[in-house]
Amino acid sequence: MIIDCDIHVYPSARCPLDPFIPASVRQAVRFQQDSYPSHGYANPFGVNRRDLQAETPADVVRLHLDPLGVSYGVLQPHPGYAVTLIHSQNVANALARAANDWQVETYLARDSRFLGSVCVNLGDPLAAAAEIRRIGKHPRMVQVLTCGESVHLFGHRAYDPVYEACCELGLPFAVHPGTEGSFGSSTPVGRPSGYFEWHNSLPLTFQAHLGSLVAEGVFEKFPELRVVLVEGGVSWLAPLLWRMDKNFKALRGTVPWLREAPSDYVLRHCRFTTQPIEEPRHPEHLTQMYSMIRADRILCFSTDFPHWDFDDPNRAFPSGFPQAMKDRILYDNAAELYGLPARAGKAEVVA
Amino acid sequence: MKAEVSCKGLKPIDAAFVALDNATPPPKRTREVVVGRADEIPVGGRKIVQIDRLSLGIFHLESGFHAIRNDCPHQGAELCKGSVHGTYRPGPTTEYVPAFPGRILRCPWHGWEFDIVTGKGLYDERGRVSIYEVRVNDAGDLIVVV
Repeated sequence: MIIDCDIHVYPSARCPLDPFIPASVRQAVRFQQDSYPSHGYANPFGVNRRDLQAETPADVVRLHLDPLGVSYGVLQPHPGYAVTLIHSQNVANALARAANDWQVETYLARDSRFLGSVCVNLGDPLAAAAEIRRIGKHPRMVQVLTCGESVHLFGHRAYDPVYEACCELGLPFAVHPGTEGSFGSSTPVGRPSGYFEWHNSLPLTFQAHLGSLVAEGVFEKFPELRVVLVEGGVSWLAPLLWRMDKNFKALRGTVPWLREAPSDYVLRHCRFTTQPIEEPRHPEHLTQMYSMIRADRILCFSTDFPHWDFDDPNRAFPSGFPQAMKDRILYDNAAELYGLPARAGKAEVVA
Repeated sequence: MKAEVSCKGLKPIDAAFVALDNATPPPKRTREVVVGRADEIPVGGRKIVQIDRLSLGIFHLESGFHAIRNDCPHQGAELCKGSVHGTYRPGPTTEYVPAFPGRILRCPWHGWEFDIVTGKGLYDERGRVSIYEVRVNDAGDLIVVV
């Protein structure tokens, strides 16, 4: 059984977003008030797989859910996931709302395997919280979603209203990369030269956000909050946790609101997705890295369909990968995170 | 006397602070060694003494004399050459709640904090350094029990 935590869906002529955008905002869009800065790095070979075209919910079912046997798929809708970048706050808020209604009435209505993400504009945290309360009650909207680029690091108290709403609705707060470098640079020390270098730099954002969430005490303020770090890499986590734990021993007095080692907070509150799965030269090293970060508890499978760096659940794991850990990554961890039914034939989900 | 607070079910750093609040007395030892005169260490001062292979720091706090092992459990630095100050106890996010002024020893190498009175480390629930009973006799001699 498989839960895919990262399926990209786009409006198209056959599944348009326009009907979900209020008339007044459509005028603002005609005035180009939906503009946003670009990071400027494009994959020269295109960002989508070249062997298929998925334009509608039916396409995604036929091309992805059915052939791979995906039990549940969590949507990462475009352009909704990145509305935070839009200059106009009015338009950003309206397009977040449109992206959410569009998901509910197209994808979620089409197939019960689709699960939605509440897109929010983090540039306007109060509006984001209101949108979470408006649409987050939908039983198949399973998380709140934003892009990795933001005005502030995610531990900033400006986002407290968003986390408060997440906890109130029981929704994890998910982050997806891809926009890094839109406001500043994707690295803090200069601009990469091309897409290859830019793509390699994406985990930097995630590490910065994770460090901020821990240091600012977000998990003390919001003990129910869960954070999902989608597509930002995994194998960097162990050394970051070690570094944070070591520094904490010397510098605890500077963050006295922390009552546990940083790794305790991360392993309890944060979940990560696999794709793009790291492919070390010696495949057993992947298993070792995964063991170090308790992947059997915190790692959830994802394909990133239909992007070029897609992972096939049947081929992504190296041979010899432990079956029990694979089962938990493929299904159980995400089922527990999103409150989905336990694996068929499994008596009880381990807390 | 304050009632002892149980550490059970507490987060690690809270448990560490409970150990300080409870001020556990040093374990019973019997060998008494004169290590100097009480009046040679003013309040706020310290003296590092060697007893056979054991190096100790004798600290004169407001509350009296305290002895703690001069050996950081982390990488073996001479702990008692570190700075003495207060710390901040776990509190609301973004607030600094001062605690234990003048009795926290910061290792001179990596900065780990230890309580001079109880030997408890403040960085997790387990870490600690050995402490020893100090007495002053009628003649004004400083006696450590090791």
